[in-house]
Amino acid sequence: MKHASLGEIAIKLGINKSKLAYYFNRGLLKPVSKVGAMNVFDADEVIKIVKKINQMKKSGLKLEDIRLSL
Amino acid sequence: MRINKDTKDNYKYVIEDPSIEMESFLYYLQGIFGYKEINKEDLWRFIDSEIVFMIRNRFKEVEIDPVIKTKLKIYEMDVAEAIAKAQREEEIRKKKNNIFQVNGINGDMYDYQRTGVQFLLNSEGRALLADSPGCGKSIQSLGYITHSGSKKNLIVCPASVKFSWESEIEKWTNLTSFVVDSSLDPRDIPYDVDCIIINYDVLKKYLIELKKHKFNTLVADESHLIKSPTAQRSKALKMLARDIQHVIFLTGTPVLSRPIEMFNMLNMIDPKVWNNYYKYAVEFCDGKQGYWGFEAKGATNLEKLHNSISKYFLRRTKEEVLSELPPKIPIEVPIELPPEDRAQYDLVESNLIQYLKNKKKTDRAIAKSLQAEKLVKLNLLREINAMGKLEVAKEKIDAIIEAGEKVLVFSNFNGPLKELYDTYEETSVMILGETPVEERGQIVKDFQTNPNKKVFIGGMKSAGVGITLTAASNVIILDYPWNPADLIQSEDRAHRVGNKAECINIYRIISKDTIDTFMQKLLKHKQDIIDKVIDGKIEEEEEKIIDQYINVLMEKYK
Repeated sequence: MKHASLGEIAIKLGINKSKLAYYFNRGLLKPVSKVGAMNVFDADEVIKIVKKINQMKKSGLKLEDIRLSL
Repeated sequence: MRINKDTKDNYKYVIEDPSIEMESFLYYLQGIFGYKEINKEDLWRFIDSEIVFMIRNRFKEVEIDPVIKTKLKIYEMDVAEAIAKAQREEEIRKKKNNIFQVNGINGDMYDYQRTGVQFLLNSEGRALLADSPGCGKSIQSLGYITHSGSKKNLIVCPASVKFSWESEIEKWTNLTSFVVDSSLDPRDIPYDVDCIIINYDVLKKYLIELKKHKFNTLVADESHLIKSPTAQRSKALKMLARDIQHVIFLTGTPVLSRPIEMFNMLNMIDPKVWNNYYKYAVEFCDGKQGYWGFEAKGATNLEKLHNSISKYFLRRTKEEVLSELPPKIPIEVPIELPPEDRAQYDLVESNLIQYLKNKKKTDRAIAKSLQAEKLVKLNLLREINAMGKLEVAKEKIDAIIEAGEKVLVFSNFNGPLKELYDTYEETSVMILGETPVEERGQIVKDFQTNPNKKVFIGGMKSAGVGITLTAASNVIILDYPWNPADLIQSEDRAHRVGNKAECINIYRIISKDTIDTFMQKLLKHKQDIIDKVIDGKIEEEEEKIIDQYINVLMEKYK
């Protein structure tokens, strides 16, 4: 699953899709391509970023600061 | 198990009779997508086509309502297209990331040229770049200079391309340059420019002074000219190269097929390895004692030679890089007219101005009838200009023949064409206005099929239209016609369907401070004229151009 939708990645990660959608809307996740309303993401990259977000959140950083550091 | 169109509320899809396994998957999806997206009351209901897609992917046996099938198909197509697009973009990104980026070059280089610069850097600036003519060796060497940050650079080249180098440096880089004229006092070579450009023939005269400049990089263009270790120019270059850390040789001649011609360059690139001429000649050039002495004209153990030099030898043919090249490569060759031609040109030009001034004062009313007279005088100017370019043209022709290719040479004047024909009589064919029409077909056939006929010499009007000369992959334009369409027609003689080369070098020789400069600007800024000419307004356009040039001359001599 190299390229996938947010729903597919959410399933793989076992986390709520709305969480990923929220990260996407806040600019933390960027699609690698877009056709119509369909956004496709690099699954490995998204997984990496989500792990990083989780770590940074634990250390008390706000989402906006995390976005700037990505 | 079936997914149907739902009729209740805003939900779009509903599942009938899910299996236990599917139900547990639906609970899992609910956790991921949320209760708003997928919910169970009496039946499982959900909104998103993505969920239908996931269920279908997991449970192939599930039935789909035909109404939904179309929607699902569209969704699947979007997914496939988005993934394909992502893959394509990733490939492009990867390719871009893999291809080396050259610092300090203004404009886009072809990928193979970037690779060439990378090769020069990897070889620590001691290399022989032998790409086919027209592949852009000079820009690659300039790329090396800018990327490596080399401060003091010496470019040695034939006299005919000194000004080409000057304009290439100006076009592609922010470096400063200075062309050494043979009349310059050696002590006047400036120290505060990035690139000094000098021709081989005067190198010896400036040698001592040049050594004081302590150059970082030496670029020797058309380096097959120093194939003979005993020639004066070779000796002078060798003395210079000894103290310069980076030495780059550029040649379009396939030197590998005549290995002896490479020894001198290899000796300068890596003198520790290539220091025994006779050993090299015997091993790689079939060197042996002949009737007249030691001969080394052959080629032996080429694979071993190729392997031994691969770290500092790079050659790409035009065919190899064809996919990156445009079908026509216009190459401007700026020159200065030789002193005798310059003097003659200036004299004729000032006479013309005097004539025009007189006419202007007295005969304004009959200006139209003087058009033909003006044209005759201007044409004399153009012919002198074309004659002044012959030496450079011959150098170009020799280099092209040397590279095993054919060339077309066009001019508007019989004088320079006939002189060229005298020089290349054995290896050329010629069509002028006076050539009988019934003979032309055979002349063209001869050029197209006879491997010994390397040069086609033609009048721009008489041979520039209606004939196919696809055996050539080079065109030399000696002088600009009044009508830009004639120029395009001539260039297109070789650039036609059926040309195996597919990529044609168009050399336009342009002499500085002559009518060429005007014509060159005109062509650049008025491409739309060509369209008008095609519409049948040739006469009108020619007159306009002539009048414009006369105005330029009048301004110049005000």
